[in-house]
Amino acid sequence: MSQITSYSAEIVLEHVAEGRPLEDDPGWRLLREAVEATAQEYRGRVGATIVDYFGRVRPCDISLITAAFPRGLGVVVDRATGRVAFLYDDYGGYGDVVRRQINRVTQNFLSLAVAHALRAMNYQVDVEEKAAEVGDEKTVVVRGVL
Amino acid sequence: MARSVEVRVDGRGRVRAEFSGFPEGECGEEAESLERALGALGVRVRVRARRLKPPGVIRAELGLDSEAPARPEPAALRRPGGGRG
Repeated sequence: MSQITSYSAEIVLEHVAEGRPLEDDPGWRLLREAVEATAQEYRGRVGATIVDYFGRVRPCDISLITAAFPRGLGVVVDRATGRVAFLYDDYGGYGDVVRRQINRVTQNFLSLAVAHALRAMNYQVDVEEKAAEVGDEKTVVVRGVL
Repeated sequence: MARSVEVRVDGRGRVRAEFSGFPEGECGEEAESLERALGALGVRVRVRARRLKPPGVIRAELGLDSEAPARPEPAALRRPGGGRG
């Protein structure tokens, strides 16, 4: 029967957890795409390091550098578990900016993954972004038709 | 109605999937297929809520709603004698 399902989601790259290289994981490619899309949106750039409050450089798998948060938001994949974590130093009033950027990267990733998954299931897919009625959060609507 | 799914991803990473036009039994299988496909892409989902649509909505989606009034023929086609004007 037709139904409605609500999910909570976390990013876990299963192929990485099985010991395969990060670059071979289809989820990693989508995650990279999501960070690049977010960088474009914020007119920022993608890197491989962040800096902390003291200016110390920290390596990560990919980072998002923007004018709003020049220290950078890092993405780190745990090679043992495949779990994805964000690395950042938001000391000094950057908490809201960082939270928005993390949410946006996550939303972009999930939307890309849903569109990919539906295409793999032979759906014809259409993606639309809708502005929120309240606040600045957007909703991404992915429609698939068989 | 064509079989379709509409997935909404909000700004807090919550995902809501609405399946339409699936007959009994197939919808749950389709939802599980989507969950598996997402898992292969690194999205580990946890079901927070799952509910069936009301029976009337499902019947309408499947085109089984016999109580719906038939669409009347246009007046020109019902005119006695079949003549024009």
